[in-house]
Amino acid sequence: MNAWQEFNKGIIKENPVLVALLGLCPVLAVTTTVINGLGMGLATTFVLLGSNIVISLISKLIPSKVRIPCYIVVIATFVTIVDLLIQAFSPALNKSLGIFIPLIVVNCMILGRAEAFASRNKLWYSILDALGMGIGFTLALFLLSAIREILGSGTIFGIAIAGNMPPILIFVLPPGAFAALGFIVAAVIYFTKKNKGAK
Amino acid sequence: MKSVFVLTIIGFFSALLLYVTNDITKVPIEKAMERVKVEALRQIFPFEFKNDDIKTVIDESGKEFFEIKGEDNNLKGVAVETSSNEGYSGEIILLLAVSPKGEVFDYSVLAHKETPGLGNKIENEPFKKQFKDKTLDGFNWKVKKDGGFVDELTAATISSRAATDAVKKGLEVVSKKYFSGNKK
Repeated sequence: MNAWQEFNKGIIKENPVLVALLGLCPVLAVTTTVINGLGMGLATTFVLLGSNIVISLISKLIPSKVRIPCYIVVIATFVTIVDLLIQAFSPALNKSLGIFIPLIVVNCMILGRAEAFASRNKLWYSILDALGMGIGFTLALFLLSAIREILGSGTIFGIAIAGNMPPILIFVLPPGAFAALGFIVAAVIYFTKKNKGAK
Repeated sequence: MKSVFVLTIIGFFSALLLYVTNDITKVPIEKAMERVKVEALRQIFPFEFKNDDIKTVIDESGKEFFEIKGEDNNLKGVAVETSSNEGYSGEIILLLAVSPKGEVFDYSVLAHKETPGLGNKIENEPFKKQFKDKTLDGFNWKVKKDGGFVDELTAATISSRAATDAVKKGLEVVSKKYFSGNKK
């Protein structure tokens, strides 16, 4: 596998949310507005990048018996850093994401990448993997939050969009999150199958 | 043995990194929280004031009162945090501004978990306006459904009830401190 593929795979082919269906708790919970979705996506990408870099560097030193606790410590460190930075420089985002920032620790996508990729690959590939997966995660959150915000609140980035369509309340509520995600995943599966058929 | 050693080393470096980050972000976080508070106070008082005009008073029970002082040091208004557990899901926390005469200026919702699109309308002007200039006496602090004066929000009677309850409680706290017997 070459470098480009390592980067590329997280965005569509192995997208953590839309294909692997990993880390759905924050995906469903915070995507009520585009700003929240993007904020969560970027915060997670930062944590993923940090943990992938550190874990790929130190993985040879870690005895396999205690590897999971070690990974969790590394991940928790980066999550706390992100949490502090957001509190310091973006109080508004901190207020709306709230508890979901510390909960990035238990996002199984991050531990999954550490265990399945960073611990077995060189630094450079681990960085590309983290960036690809992070962008894939952020894109999925952006897509879902855009659909939910437009349909559920009639706004995008908090700005009202033209047209007098009344907002469909259910899309800002949890059932709407499940429904919207379901439709996106179905569409992704449909198009991947179609592409395969064409080849 | 090696496992313990490696985990300890990793823990040590994590702690070091967090120590540095905490050191860097400590002041900005305090400033950000201060700014959020001042911003919230600005929204609920109908007049302009400078940051220096805010005086925080803490009473014996640990309750914080934000006094706004005018030019000749007279009291122009008091704000207090107030909450209600009567909400549809969880606590509703408000910041309530009261005039020196004991009338409600306005409030802003600091935290709530009410249903988006229904209960969260307690944050909107049409609902909030009902409390403006109301005092503890002469106003029936209940929603209309319970025989009071407050127009409840459609499909959000419980949230309306809770908001009313919180405003009333806040007003009571302020009245008790500022208007009962020992007037300042």
